[in-house]
Amino acid sequence: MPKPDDSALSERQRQRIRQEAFKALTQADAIGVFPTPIDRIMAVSKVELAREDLADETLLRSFRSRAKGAIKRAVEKIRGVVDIVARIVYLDQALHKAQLPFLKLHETAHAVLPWQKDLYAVTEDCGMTLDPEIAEAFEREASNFATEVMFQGDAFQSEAADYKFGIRAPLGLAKTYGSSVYMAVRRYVSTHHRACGVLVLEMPEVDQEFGFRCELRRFVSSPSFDTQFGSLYWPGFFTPSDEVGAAVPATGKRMSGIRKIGLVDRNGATHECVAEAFTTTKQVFILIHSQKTLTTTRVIAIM
Amino acid sequence: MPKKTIKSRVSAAKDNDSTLTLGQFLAKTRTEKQMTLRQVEDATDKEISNGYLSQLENDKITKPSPHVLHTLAEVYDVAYDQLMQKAGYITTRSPESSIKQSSKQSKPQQHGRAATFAEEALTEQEEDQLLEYLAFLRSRK
Repeated sequence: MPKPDDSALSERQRQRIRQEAFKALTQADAIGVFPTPIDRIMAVSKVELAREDLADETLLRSFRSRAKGAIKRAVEKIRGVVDIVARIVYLDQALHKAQLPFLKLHETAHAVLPWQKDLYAVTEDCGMTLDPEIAEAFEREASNFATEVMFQGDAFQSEAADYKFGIRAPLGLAKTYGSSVYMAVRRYVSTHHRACGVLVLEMPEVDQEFGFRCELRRFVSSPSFDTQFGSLYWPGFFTPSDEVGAAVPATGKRMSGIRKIGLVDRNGATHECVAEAFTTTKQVFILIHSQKTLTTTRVIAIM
Repeated sequence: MPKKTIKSRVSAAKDNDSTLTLGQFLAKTRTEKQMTLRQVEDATDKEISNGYLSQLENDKITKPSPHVLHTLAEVYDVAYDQLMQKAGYITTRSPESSIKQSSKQSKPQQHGRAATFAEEALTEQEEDQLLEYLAFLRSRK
């Protein structure tokens, strides 16, 4: 099942987050410095990175708890947590290094955004709890803060415009900005002026009937794509028997060649689109962008 | 006069104004502070326009973003968590709710006490334990 949108904010919230991200970058003297010096951002935010691993067996044993099972399950579920009182960030030590910058900044955000840190200080300390909707909104705000700091506002978007459009552009930009490929591809698509989108798929799993299947993790699109195509329906998974699944790079390969697929826009017109795929060890990315309107072509998704 | 912290304002605020809606409370507080809508707009560096505040006070907007409430709490020097409670954004957890949740074993909603990045929401018991674990680690420093 596709994951819920983890980035949507109102324009008012987005502006406020940008303001806080810019403030942190300015204080850290990090504007125009790429990759963004995360440690400097954390230092000016007075947030420290813990050396301890929360999942460390010795630590867990020394923690006298009536519910050992619960703390173990909690530690297994979390990738990062910030102790707001002590301003210490704990990260899952098993994380891939490409994920660390984002998570450091995400947790820092909880301790920096004034309306969050003041509230977590209260909820950590007493029997109060955030409404689930607000807790989710705080997560989205923290993720937005992290991406704003890493990609420094419009800097990424401006640089991306200088590249030839295609999957290689975000791969190169990921190195420049020190982000994971996943983050760079999402940013690339969501801020690009072209009508484009990316299907993020889970890694292929063996399927008796089709050979393999890839679950859809999420679809991210550019504003002009949304204007042109509206909300497209995507199936929950893809196999080699459909056009998207057929684009998934073969085992051992990282990229597949360019393929043509058809998408129907809001007006019912079919557009020939170009799809190209790239895979990491975690996900498969299918970048799709519109080329021109055709009268006849196969349709893989319907409004 | 030293600036009051949120915690110090909590207890004083809890007993008063409990029956007022968020909008009524904001309007009453602004009146007591003898501020006009325009003055609030200026005091917030135009983050909160007078038109927006007017809609808030008339309960036409009942769910403003938390950062809006935080800014107003600072301008009015009132407890931020009180405004958040009035907006329904924070609640006092009852012991029954955690028993109910653990007995049903249903998929938990996003937890709301610890600031985490989690693959899956924590149950109340897991979140409680995590916070205790953090306090334990803090005590070792």
